[in-house]
Amino acid sequence: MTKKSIKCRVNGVNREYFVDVRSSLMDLLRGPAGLDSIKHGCDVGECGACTVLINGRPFNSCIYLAVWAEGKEIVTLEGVTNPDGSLSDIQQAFVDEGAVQCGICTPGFIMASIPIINQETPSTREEIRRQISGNLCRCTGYQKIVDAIEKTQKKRIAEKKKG
Amino acid sequence: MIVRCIVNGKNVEVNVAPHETLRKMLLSLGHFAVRDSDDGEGFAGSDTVIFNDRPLYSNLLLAAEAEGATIRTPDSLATGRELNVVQEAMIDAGVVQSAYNAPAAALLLTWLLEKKPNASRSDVAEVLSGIFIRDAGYEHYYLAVELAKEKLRSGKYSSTIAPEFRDHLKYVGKVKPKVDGRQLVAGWRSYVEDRVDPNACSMVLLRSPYAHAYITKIDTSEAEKMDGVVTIITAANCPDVFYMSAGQGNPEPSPYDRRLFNWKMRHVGDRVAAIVAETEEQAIAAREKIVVEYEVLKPIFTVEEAMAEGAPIVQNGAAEYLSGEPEGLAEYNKGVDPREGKIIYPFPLHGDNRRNIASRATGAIGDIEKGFAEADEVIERTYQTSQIQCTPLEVHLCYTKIDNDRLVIHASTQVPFHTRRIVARVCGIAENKIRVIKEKVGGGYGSKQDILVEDVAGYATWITRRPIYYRNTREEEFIANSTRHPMRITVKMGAKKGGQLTSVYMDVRANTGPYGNHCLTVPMNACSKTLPLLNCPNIAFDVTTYYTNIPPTGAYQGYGAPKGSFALMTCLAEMASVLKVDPLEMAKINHVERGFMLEILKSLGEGREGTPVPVGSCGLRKALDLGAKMIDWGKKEVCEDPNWKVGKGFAMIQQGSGLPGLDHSMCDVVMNTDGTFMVHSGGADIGTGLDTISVKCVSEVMCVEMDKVSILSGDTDNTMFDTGAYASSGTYFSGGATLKAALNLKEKVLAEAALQMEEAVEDLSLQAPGEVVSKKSGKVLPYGELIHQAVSGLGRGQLVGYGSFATEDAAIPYGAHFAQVAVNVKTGAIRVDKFYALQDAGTPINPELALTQMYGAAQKSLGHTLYEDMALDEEGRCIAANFTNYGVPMISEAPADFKAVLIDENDEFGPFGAKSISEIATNGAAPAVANAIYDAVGVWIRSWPITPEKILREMGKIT
Repeated sequence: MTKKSIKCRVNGVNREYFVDVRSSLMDLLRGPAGLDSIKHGCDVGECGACTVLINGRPFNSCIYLAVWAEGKEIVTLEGVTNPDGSLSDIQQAFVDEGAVQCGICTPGFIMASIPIINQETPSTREEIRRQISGNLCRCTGYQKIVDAIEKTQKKRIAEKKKG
Repeated sequence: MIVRCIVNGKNVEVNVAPHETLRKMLLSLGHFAVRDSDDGEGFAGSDTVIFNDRPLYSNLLLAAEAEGATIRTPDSLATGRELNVVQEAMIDAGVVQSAYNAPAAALLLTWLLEKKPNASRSDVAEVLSGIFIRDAGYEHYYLAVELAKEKLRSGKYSSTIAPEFRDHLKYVGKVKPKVDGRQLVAGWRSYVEDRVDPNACSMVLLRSPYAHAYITKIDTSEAEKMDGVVTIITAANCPDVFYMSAGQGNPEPSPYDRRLFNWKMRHVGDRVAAIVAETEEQAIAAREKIVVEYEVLKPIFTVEEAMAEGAPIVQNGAAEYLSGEPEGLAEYNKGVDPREGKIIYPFPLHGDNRRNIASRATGAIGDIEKGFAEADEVIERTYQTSQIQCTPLEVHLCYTKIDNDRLVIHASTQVPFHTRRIVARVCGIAENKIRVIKEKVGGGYGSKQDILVEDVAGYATWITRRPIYYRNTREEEFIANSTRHPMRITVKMGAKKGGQLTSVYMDVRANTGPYGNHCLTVPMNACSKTLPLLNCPNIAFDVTTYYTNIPPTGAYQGYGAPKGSFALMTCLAEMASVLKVDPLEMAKINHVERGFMLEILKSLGEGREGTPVPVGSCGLRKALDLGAKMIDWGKKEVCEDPNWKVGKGFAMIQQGSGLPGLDHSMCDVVMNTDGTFMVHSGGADIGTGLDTISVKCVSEVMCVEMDKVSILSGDTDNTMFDTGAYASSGTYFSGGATLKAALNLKEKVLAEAALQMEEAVEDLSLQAPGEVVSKKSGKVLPYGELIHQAVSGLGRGQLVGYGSFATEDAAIPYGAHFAQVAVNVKTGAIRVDKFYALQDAGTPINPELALTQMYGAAQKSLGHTLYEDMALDEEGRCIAANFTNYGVPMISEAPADFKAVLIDENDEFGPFGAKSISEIATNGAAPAVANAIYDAVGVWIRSWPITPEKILREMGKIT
């Protein structure tokens, strides 16, 4: 077993971890980092429940080695929640639109939606579907999830225009 | 840096900081049974490991020193579910109580028996010399080693563990393994600290350096900018809610005289600010940046100073009353300084805060003046007790988090339901938003009857939504906690020549310190758990409690009674010596017996009128007679060394079993779908064996083995209300509720069986191993089949028994403690050679645990009598705020001949005839030792601790 020390930024804070070189970023985040929002769904990058942002882009953390995180900026759902613990707009939209049922896929969906809701121009529903196509939901039938993302994206664009 | 070593037989490789301790490294590897109760002082031994085949304190080693080492922790002892012989023997001997140090002790004793399979008593004392045990005492550790040796030798025990009671019962009164003994001795996840998410935020408190001061300015701006800081709470931003910390029945007999943070500091260690940050280091760093300016006031520390004309006023705020407001209150409150806050009385306690008086009470029977006039001798003596810390091995701590948008508090508490109510008040939220989970409690002894950490951590989590772990330092345990009130008690006693008392008057002046939690009830207990021992027709008492600037006080096992007992029982012996009557004869003439009407109780209610009851079951005379025989009363012992003089003394003792008319406990028992049982008890087992009592009650009633009954207790979401574990209420109230629930379930089971079996209820009964039998048809219906029919198809539903226990009946435990001491007339050194604790606990449901509770309590009270003292310097700083300076007794201080004896008396009210056991055992040591010292060297020592210096001074050998 070889272990290696890595430094990265997790949810805006500089961290240092001592990790088994074979372990995944998901193992690191759920384990020593204690970030429970990352869900362990399939281990092979198919379900998207473990999605996190690495340097702003969504990745399946289960098929991303922990050692690759050296020097990277990682954001998990814990970093999306407002600092006072209240829900952010996208989280609230998931609740309001009925996009949360059993909830196991929700953190991954929300992380996958972050780049979408931050776009400058509105997406079509088709585009949103394509962008969340790496995430599996068994309960909702996706319709409400797309509603929540679409609504939040529109709201953000409108707010930006207002300035 | 990387450390490679062997831990419990496995190679490990760990990245550690150069300054990291070995304990911290072991903790990071999941070995949380390597605990810490002294912040690395190297005293209590919770952090013991076997390091390269030597026992060492892991807090005193750097992790870096472990390179290449072989380390054993308590986790090495059990194999899967199988405990080792020592662990089993410790459970069987009854030493696994609150058990914080039990894993460390098990490790040491295992190591000892590996080296020396025939280890002697002195080997055991040697190997346990660095382990502090506060709960069970040390005596049964010797027994545990004997049992383990016997098991290793012959596969079975031959020693008797404890006497057994009630032949017709199978579980009650029998030696049976404590139901939570396994997890506690093995060191499996049990305590609050084992539940904490490693990424939880940390909270530290900034505390006042002054005993009496106003905060004139507090600036947290620089601290807030520090890395990782989540929030800082001070008097400037905390809720404007007044409350108090005592977990008492509502409405509480204590004034609401504090907020989370106040503008006035009333003791060294008073809260100034709470700093929550992502790590403890960050919180501590931020604490350094808080700037506070104080206006320092003159402090007062004693009752005499508080009473003095023109004394500084500790609680000079506006008084308010939620009920019973006295006339002229507006006038009384004129000119108060708003920085003083308020004192809100739920109902009048007859306090006068502008004269430093927190509460007052008075009461009498007969006519004491007439009684004194009839006496042949009248004496008046004053006794002083010192401030004593409970020193639970597990410090006060809590883990608070948000779950399901509700506040969840993992608490080490004696009072889960009072904790919920008080935190709800502080946070300004309803009780349904809060869940309190009582985890295993690593020692409470009364101090965890107060809400001392859950209030601030709970509020901080509620406003930030962040999980927060808070843990007192050991120093904070001394300066900002719950302690025994120092008391000055004057006893005036009149008696006839032959010894019959004609009149007794007690004047109790108690020092509550900065706040009034328990200010009425602890001092009243000094009277109510002592005066009713006497059959004297004329009795009166006055109780006055004063505010001062000493560290806070509160509840401590015995709850005022040890102090009252010291005064009253020593005075009784003094009277005997004045009358030249044998003190034992004097006691026998004056003590109550079954049937005596305790009229005095009428004036001893907790802020309300009490109910006089007759003395019920009472083993007092048996305890006196047997104790006298055991210690060879009347025989003068002589030491070979003429410098050592030997004396004997004793004291009569009593307590209560809960608070009749006030306490209330509830329980339900569910029959599971396979015919086993789940008990949900509101009671809080704090290591005493209450859960085991509950399980035994259900096993006994339902005729099933104890492993067919499981229990969940003290969880406000999943169990019904219970006032909590204080006032010796556990067995009588919580156990009583479980018994009622079990009997209720039995009724329902028989009714359901009658329908299913198509038989008459009167023909049915329960029998082992868990079935209903008909005496008419001979048919049997196992519980598994019965419940299956009840919960499947169109069955009538699950079988649940409910029990609510409230009563006006008193089940008073009695006893007598005897001591034989040797005093060195040259040095004043005191040696307690013999200590015999004889107590009537009704039916001892867990006899082995009853004995170890007696040993533990008697050992504690010997500590209070001889060594322990929270001495303060002239500024009010505790100069004994650690174990080493404070002086708790270790195994080497235990009496050489130490015996606990259970006097067999069946009580008519308690569950299966049981009464309380442990608090009473703190009442005897001080008067017994004081009386024995007089017998040895002819001087009376009337203040705690009884030190060699005081003896030599009284003997005129030093000035």
